[in-house]
Amino acid sequence: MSIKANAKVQDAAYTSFYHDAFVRLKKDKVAVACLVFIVLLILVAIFAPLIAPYEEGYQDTSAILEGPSSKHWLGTDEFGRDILTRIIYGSRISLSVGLIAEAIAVTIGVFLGALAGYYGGKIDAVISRIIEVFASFPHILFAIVIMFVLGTGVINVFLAIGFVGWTGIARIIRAQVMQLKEKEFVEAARASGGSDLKIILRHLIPNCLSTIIVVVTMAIPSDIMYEASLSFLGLGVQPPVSSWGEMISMARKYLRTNPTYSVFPGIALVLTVLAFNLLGDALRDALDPKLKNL
Amino acid sequence: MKRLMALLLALGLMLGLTPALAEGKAFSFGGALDDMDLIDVHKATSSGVLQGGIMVCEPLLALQPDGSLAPQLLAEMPAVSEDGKVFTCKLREDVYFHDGTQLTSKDVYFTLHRIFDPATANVNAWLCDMILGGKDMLDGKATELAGVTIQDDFNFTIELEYPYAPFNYILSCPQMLIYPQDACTAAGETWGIDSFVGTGPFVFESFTAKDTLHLVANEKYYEGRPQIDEVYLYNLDRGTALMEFEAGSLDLVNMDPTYVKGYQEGEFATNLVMSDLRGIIALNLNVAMPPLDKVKVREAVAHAIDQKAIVESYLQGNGTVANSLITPSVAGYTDRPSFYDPEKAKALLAEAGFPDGIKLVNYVSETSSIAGIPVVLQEQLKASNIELEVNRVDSATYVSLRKEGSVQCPLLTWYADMPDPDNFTYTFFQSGNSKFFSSNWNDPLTDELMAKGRAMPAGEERIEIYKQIDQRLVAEEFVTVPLYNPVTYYLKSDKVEGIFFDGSMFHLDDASIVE
Amino acid sequence: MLKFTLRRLYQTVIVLLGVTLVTFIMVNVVPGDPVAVMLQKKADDATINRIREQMGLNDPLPAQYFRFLTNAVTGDFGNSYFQKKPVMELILRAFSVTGTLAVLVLAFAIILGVLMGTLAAVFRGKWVDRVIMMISTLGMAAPSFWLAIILQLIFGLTLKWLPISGLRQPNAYIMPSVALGMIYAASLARLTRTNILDAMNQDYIRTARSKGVGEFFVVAKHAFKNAGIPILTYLGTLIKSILGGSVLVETIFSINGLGRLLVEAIMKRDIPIIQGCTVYIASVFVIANLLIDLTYGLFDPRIRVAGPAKR
Repeated sequence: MSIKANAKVQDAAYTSFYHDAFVRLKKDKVAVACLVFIVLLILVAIFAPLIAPYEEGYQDTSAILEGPSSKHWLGTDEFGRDILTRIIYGSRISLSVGLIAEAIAVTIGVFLGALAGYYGGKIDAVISRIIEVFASFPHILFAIVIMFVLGTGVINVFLAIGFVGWTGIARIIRAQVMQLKEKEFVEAARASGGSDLKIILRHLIPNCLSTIIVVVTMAIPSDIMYEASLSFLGLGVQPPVSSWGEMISMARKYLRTNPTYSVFPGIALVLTVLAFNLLGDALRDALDPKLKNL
Repeated sequence: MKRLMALLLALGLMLGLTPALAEGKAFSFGGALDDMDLIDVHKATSSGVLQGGIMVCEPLLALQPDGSLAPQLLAEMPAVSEDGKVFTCKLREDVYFHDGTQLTSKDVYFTLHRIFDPATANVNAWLCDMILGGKDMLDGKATELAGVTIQDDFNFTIELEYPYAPFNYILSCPQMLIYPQDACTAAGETWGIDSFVGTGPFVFESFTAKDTLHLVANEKYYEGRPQIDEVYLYNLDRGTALMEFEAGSLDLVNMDPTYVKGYQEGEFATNLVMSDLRGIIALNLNVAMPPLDKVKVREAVAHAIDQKAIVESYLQGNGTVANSLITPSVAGYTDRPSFYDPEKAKALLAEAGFPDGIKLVNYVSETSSIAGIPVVLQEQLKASNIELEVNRVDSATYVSLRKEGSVQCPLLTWYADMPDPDNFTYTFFQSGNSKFFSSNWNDPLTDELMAKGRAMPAGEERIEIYKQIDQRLVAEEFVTVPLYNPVTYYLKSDKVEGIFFDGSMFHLDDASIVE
Repeated sequence: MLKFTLRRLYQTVIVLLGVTLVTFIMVNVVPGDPVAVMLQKKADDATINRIREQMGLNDPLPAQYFRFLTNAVTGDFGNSYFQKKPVMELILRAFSVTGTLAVLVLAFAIILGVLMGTLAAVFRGKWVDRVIMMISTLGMAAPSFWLAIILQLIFGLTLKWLPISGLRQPNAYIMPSVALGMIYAASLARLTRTNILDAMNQDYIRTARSKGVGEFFVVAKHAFKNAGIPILTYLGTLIKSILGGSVLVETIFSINGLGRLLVEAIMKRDIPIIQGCTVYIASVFVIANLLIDLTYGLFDPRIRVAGPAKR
C-alpha cells in the first residue's frame, strides 16, 4: 500500500471513532438529558424576546420587590423588573460567555500548545514558561485586573475570561501533540511533502478535536461561574442587561424579605453548570477516557 | 457627681468580678466603612472616617439638635466684628487632651495651619479657605497662616478674607476638629492610624485599618465621663451588618433605605429610626457636552423626569421629592411644582432640533448608594425619546472621569456640611468648582450672586439672593434637575438610649447602655 | 534528583520573573491616576504633579520596573498609597487570615472529599455511591458566593448557631471554609472515587484480594498509594483556586483576607498593593507547585525523567 493510502486508512478509522462515541453517548440517559437541556437553553436564549413575558428593562413601578404572583411568576426585583424575564435574558449572557470566552481560549491555547508540542526544544521551553507564568495567576483575580484595564462591559468580560483560561487547553494540546507527532500518519504526511503548518492544521489538531470538545465542555461551567462572580462584584454587565450573577449580587440586600429573588437565578446557574459538567463527563467517557484524571 | 461615683463604683465592682469582660457597657457600631484607612479628618471625606474622628476630637463649636450652635471648646460664642471679618474667640480653660496636655490657642493655630499646609494634602481645605492666608499657604506663597492671631493661651482671633455669614457653622464641622500640636507633630505620618489624641469624650485605644476602631471612655472628660465605657466601630458589608444587628452583636447599624422594607414590620420595627439627611440628590447636566449645551435640551430633560415615581416606587417612600437645589430646612429654599411632562419634553427636544430624541451617557460609581437611580431614570426617559446609557464603574474611575468634567450627566449626591445655602450652591456651581463636579457651569451672573451671598450678613436680603441663585440654576438655565431629598435609617438596639444623630453623624457623649 | 531539582529551580526563577513583568505591565496600563484619586476633591495639576514626582511616578517605565523588581526581591513593595503602611506588612497580615482559611478549606476538602470518594468507591453501584455522587455533582455546580449567602441565612441568622461575619471567634471559620471548600470537596470526592476504582481493578489488588485480605484494607493500603498522585496534582490547582476564589467569600463574611485586600486596592488604584499582592499570590502558587513537583520527583522516578506532571 502506498503511503498516502495509509494516511487515508487512518482517517477512515477516525470517522468511525466518532460514530462509536456517539452511539455510546446516546445510551447514557443522563448525558442525553443534559444535551436536551442545553439545547433548550440555547433556544430560550435565542428566542428570548418571544418567550419572555416582558421587555428586558421594563420596570413595573407598581410592583417593587414582590414575591411570585400571577402577574409576575417569579416575582419582581427592586426596580419592578420581572425576574422570570431577566432570568430568560440572563441565559444569553451565560451562554455567550461560554461560547465566546472559550473560542478565545481555544484559539490561543490550541495555537500555542500545538506549536510547543510539535517543535519541542527551545520553542517548547519558551512557550511552556509563558504558559506557567500566566497559569500562576489565580483566574478570578487575573480576570478582575484585566477588567480594570479594559473597563466594564460584556465584551470585556468575554475577553477577560477567555484570556485567563487559555493555559489549561494549551497544556493539554501540547501533551497530545507531543504524543501524536510520533505516530505514523504524521511521518506519512511529512514524507508526502506537507509543510509544518499544514501538518499541524490538517492532521494534528483535528486529531485533538475530541480532547478539545471535552475540555471546552468542562471549561464552560467555570467560565459561566467566572462571569457570575465578576458580575457579582459589579464588574460585569451594565444595566439594563441582566446576568444571573448580577441578580444574585443585587438580591443579597433583600434576602430577608425576598429570598426568592436570589434563589431562582441561583437555580438557573446551578442547573446550567450541572448540565455542562455532566455532559462533559459523558463526552469524556465516550471520546477519550484517558482524560479521566483532569 | 454622685451618679458618676456610683457608676465608677459599679464599674469597679464589675471589673473586679469579671476581669476579662470586654462587654459590660461596650457599644458596638457597624457600618459600611470601606474607606476607613485612617481617621485623620484632614485626609478623608467619607462619613465613616469623620464619625470615628468626632468621638475622639472636637471642633470649637457644636451643632445642637435644634439646629443652633453652641460653644464646645470655646467658652462662649465668638464675637464678630462689624465688618463680619474678624472672629474673636475665647477658649475654655478646663480642657485637656487625652495625653494630659492642656488645650491652648497654639493647638488651634497648629490645627488650622495644618489644614492649609500643602504637605498635609488636606482634602477638605476648601471648606474653610475663606480664612485669611489660607489660600496663600495652599498656593505655597506663605508658610504661616495670616488670619489667625494668638493673643494669649486662651484668646485668639480668626480673620477672614471676606465676610462670610455662616462661618460659625464652619467652625462646628467635623472637618474642623482641633488637634493637639505636640501629639500630632510627634505622630507624623501615623497620625490617625497608630495614634489620635483629642479632647473628646472617647480616647483612641486601637485601630485596624478598614476593620475596627476601638475607643474607651475619657475618664477626665470636661463635660463629665460618658456613660459608655467602650466603643467599637466595625467596618462591615451592609447586609452582614444588618444580620449582625439581628443576631444581637451590634448596638447601632446604619441602614440604607433599600433594606428598610424588611424591618418596618416585625421584630425590629421599634428599633428602626428614620432621619432626615439634610441632603439633595440631583442630576447635573454637563453644559460643556452637547447636546446639553442647549438650554432647551436641558429643559427637556427636566421635563422628562418623574421625581414622584422615583420616590414612591423605587425608594418606597423613603425620601421627599425635591424641586429645589436647597433643602427645605435651609434658607433659600423654594417650593416649586415638578416639571414632569413627557409630551412637553418631546416638544422641547423637537424645537431644539432633535425631533428623534437624544442620547445621553451616565456614569455612576457602583458602590454608591444611589447606583440604582440611573437605572430608574433610564426607563423613565424612554417616554421622552431620551436614551440614557448607564455605565457602572468603580469609584476610582468615576472620580477620575467626573473630576475631568467629562461625565455628561452625573448624579449629584450631597449631604451638607452645614445648614447653609452656600454649601449647596457655591461648592458645585461656582465657575472655579464646576468642572470638578462635571457641571462646567461657568456663568458670571451666578458667580456674582454667589460672591454677594457669601459676604452678606444673615437676613432677608441674603435669603433672597439664594432664592435667585436657586431659581436661575434650576428653573431658568436647567443646569441641574433636583430629584429628591434622601432620608436615612438606622437600627438601634433596645439596650441603648441617648444617641444623637445630627443629620450626618452619631454623637454618643450622652448615650448610655441600659441592661 | 539533583539535576531535576536544579532544572525545576531554574524554571521557577524564570517564571517568577515573568510574573513580575506581567504584573507590572498590567498595573501600569490601568487608567485612572491614583494620585488624583488620593487627593479627591480638589487638587490642581501642580500639586498632582509634585506628588507624582515624589513617588517616582514620572520616571520612565523601564526604570520603574527595574526599581520594582529589585525591591520586590527583598520583599519591599513600597508603602500603600492610602494606608501609609508597608505593603508587605499588609500582605502578611492578610495572608495569615487567608492562609488559615486556605488550610481549613484544604483540610475540609481533603477529608470530606477523600472520605466520600472512598465510601462511594467501596460501595460502588449501591445507593451510598449514588447519593454521594449526586451531592458531589450538585456541590460542584453551586457558586461559592451563593452557597455562602445561603449558609449565612440558615446557620447565622435563622438558627443563630454561627457568627455571621468576621473571624473574631474560632467557630467563625466554619461557614467560610464550607462555602469555599464545597466545590473542591465535591470534585475531590469524584476524583478519589474514579482513581480508587481504577486502582482496584489492577492486578496487584486482585492478588491481595485473593490472598483474603479484607476489602477495606486492600483499598486503603494499595489503592490509596496510587490514587495519591493525582490528588497531589490536584492540590496545586486547589491552592491556586482557593487563593483566588476567596475574594467572594471574604466579601460576604467581611473577612480581611488577601483577596479582599487586592480587590479593594484595585478599586482605589492603590498600585503598590496591587503589584505586591499579585506577585505574592502568584509566587505562592509557583513555589507550591515547585514543592509538589519535587515531592513527586522524590517518590516517582518516572517523573524525574518525563518532566513536570500534567496539571
